[in-house]
Amino acid sequence: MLQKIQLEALEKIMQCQNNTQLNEIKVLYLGKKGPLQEVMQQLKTLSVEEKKEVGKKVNELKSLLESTIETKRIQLNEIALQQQLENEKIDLTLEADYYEQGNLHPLIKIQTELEDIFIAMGYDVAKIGEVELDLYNFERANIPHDHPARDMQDTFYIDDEKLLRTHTTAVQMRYLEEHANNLPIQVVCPGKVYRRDDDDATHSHQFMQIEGLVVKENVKMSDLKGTLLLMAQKMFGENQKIRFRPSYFQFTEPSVEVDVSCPFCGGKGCNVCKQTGWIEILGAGMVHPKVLEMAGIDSTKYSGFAFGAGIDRIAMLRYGVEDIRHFFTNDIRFLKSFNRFD
Amino acid sequence: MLVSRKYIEQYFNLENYTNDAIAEALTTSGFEVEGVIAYDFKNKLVVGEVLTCEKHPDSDHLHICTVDVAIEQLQIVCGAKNVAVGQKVIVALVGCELPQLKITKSKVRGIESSGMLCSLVELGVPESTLTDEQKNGIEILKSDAIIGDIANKYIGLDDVIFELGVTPNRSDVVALNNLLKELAAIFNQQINIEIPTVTTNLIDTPLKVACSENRYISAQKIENITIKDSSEHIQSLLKTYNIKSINNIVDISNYVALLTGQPNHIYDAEFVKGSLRIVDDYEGEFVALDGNTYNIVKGDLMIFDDEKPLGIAGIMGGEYSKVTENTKNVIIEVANFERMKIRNTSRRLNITSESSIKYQKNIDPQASDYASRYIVDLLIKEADAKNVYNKIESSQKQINLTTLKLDYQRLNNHLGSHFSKEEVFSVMKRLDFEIKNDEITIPSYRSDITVAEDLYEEVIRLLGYDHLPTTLPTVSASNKSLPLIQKMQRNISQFLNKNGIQQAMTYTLISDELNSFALNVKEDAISLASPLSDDRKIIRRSILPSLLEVLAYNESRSVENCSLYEISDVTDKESSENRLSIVLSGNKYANKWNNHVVTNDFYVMKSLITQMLVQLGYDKQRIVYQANTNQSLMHPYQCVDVYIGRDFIGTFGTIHPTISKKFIVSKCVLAELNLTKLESLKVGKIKYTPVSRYQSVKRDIAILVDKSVTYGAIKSVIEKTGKSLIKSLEVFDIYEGENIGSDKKSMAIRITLQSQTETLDNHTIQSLMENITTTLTTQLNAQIR
Repeated sequence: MLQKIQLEALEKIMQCQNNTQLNEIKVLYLGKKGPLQEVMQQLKTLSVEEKKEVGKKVNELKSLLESTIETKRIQLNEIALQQQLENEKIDLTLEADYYEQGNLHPLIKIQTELEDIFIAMGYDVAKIGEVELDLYNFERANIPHDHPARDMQDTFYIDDEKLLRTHTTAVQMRYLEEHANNLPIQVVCPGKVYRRDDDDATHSHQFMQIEGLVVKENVKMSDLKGTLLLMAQKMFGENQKIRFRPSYFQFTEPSVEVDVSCPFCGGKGCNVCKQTGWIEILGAGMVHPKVLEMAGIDSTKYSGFAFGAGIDRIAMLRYGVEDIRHFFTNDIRFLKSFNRFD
Repeated sequence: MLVSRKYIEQYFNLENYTNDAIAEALTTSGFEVEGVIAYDFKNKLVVGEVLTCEKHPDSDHLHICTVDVAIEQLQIVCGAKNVAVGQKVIVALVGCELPQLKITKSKVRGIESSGMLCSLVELGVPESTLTDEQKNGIEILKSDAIIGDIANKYIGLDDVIFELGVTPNRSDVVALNNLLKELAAIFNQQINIEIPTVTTNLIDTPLKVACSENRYISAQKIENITIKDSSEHIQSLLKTYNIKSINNIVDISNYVALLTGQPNHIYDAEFVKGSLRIVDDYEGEFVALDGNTYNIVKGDLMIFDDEKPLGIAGIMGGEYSKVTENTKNVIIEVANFERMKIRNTSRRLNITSESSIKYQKNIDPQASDYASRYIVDLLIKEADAKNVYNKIESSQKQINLTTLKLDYQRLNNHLGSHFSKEEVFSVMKRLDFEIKNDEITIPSYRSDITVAEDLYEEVIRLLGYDHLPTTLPTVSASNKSLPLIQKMQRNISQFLNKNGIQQAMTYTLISDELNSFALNVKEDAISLASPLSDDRKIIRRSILPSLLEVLAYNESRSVENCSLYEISDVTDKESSENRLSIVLSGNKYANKWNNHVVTNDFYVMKSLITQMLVQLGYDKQRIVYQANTNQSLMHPYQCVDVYIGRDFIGTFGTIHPTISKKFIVSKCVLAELNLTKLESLKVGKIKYTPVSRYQSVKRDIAILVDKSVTYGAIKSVIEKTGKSLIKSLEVFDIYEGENIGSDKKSMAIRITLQSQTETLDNHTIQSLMENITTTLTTQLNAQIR
């Protein structure tokens, strides 16, 4: 009898498809009206010995069924979970790049990078307005009255005194005057500058510069070389070399143009560097004694160096941009190509 | 400035210098070699003789020639009209690379052709130096040219020309004599340049000259000249500088200008009446040498005789008094003027001549004397001049030479170098500067040297910058860092980039029209005195109009969902300020297949601005948005002014439909904030308050109010009533419709309540909610649903 119940019940448990059916089976066999309960009631008619023996068997069967049901339940839950997960299968190949991020304008990107290089060397960063006096833009920079740059043809004059600055040197000259009694000076001045040029692939009436100025006791031209080498290596890579070539700027003496070894060919010679292995990136020199004197600084006691680079030029070089006008057209597709941490 | 290798090799021994080595030496000494013209055709350009020449059967202008080039006879089809049997010609062999083409074996109208007969134009010789004959036909060589020889030497193209970049301070080297002195220093070789002295007996001059004191003019008459071709030596030098050879007189004038850097003019004496004067008040027309008539205005300098203008001073002589083949007697004029004057006139008249270029450089004050002496000497030697008159000058030139002390230790301190005294002074010797003790006398042509630092530069550039050590300045500890406004700009950029907005940079200079759309302006805009064009004449006072142009540019190229910002200074007549402008169009993000789309609208911008201001340190309670119905760029009912407390910061809103039509842009949202103002306001520090340990409770209410009642008013009532227990409010549904009345709206709000000090009990919650609903009913006439 018990054996029959056992076989039947185990069979039914195995066939259960879900928890509901399993619960029904549980009630059916282990409930108050179940066959085991019935067997127990029939015990009355048996001897004590037999009672003991059958009772034990019934209990054993009970716990067998209970544990089988629980095992089955775990199994069913597992199957149900698998089923659910199966149902939640998605197409992993659907595109999902709609949370787009913006990025800095390439010129600001380069500006920021350069600022940080010099901030790390203890430089101040100065930004002063773009509308400037002739005095600071030209006079203080030792650019004489009959110099072509002071012509209406080359500079955006506003009136006889005011103009749109043609170089960030104007900021240096103001800073120099303001800090004449508060030396040493270590400053970089980034910003927009303006020249009365027609726009083409390599000229823009508006572009960006960053200039640096250091004035204190015993500053040497070799310090300038070391500083610019450091800058070039941070901007273009650790193995960069630099080269000084004699040049001319009114506010520095001696003046040099500074080449970096061509980042495209590593100095072997290519189209970008016109086979020379060098690319000109900035102008620099020792601050002209007249410039120091005009700002009220004793040029026999203090010396200084200055340098200036075109941010647009560096950006064009670094990213291989062929036309300066792209920077100001702001085609979003162009702007997005600078969406990298580099 | 062009330098011919052949020319300088007459003075220096450059056997050990390759072309590259010369270029390197020049560049590292401060004269950057910007190009090398070598006319190097790699043995593929040879002399040939035309043996036969027949008409091409299929063409009326082509000829089929047989050309002997020594090693073989070639069949070449030639299109030149002047080709004929017996000519010695220039043959570009197959494989020869000419500036415009590479010669290959080909068929010309069915006839095989193995090479090309060349004109000088095809070899890359500038047309300005060629005659019409040379331009229009192949070059015919002299009959003694040897067949099969490399052709270059027969046409004067066996030279190498270096193009030098000359910095403005060293314009002295445009005078070849000065260039030679510089090269002597660079190559460390000796040179001796002798200026000729006129030894014939001079006749008393009948001429007179006159000009103001700041200018100089001299005149000298010479008679009985013979007009002919100038000598080979002069012609070949002129050719190097692309100056066309005219006749011996004109060539001498140009040649001397090349040597000395001093422009000069030679008149036919017959057409000059009385004295030579420099005049600056002439007004009227003038026919110049180039045959053109120019309008001269007051202020332009003119050379006059007693009766009439003879030339535009320093720029171009006149047609009337020029030297012709009939000229017998000449007057040499040498003059100096203010270079600004020459530049202005030359620009206004749009004439650039050899003379006007030279007059804009520094001319050695002694050059006028040298030039006169050279010209007279050459007129005697090359034009058989007989009667030489005295030179008459407007003034005697005072030549004051600068002397500078050269202290080699100071030099080393300034440069950081370790040169010995001998090394330093050896450079002065190379430059041929006079040394007395430690005093250096600077020659008059080196007017660029005025202070000791100028001498330091001479030393380091000639000894070489590779001798300059690499050191770093002693660091002064500093508390310097990025200025606050720039820190803020960087934070804003980072925030906006994270939110998918692209940084742009547009021009400061804009048109009148764009200026008329400026937002939040105070004073008038600044106009340039000398704009380049109407599009770039005003300094902008607002960035937004420029960004709208960028948006239009992108949308017209089918770029969708453009979100842009720019941070820039803007300026008016009184002041400058730094502004941030934002334009959002299309969707913030869109994943259409699962309906995950957020469209950029007023609320996206509001969220952005609020988040940004909070992150910058302005507590939400301080941010005030005030409706602005009167901002012409913006939709009247979708625009607010932004305040921090009482300080006006800027404006944002949806674009006005007429503006979006005007700029041809989609419906977008715009913002412009004044960062200078914002930066001046106090920011809150991060303040930590512990997260409440007590349970928060959410209660939803739905209220029916008049449409005109704003959420702001409802929020304010709830917050005032609930005070600090109100943790947050969230509107989760707004309904308008016929069934609630057309002037009503229903709003469902979830209120989150939480205390910092206790768990809220049911009674407290109940009475608070009742309190809120009662107040809403009494104050806003709301119905609770």
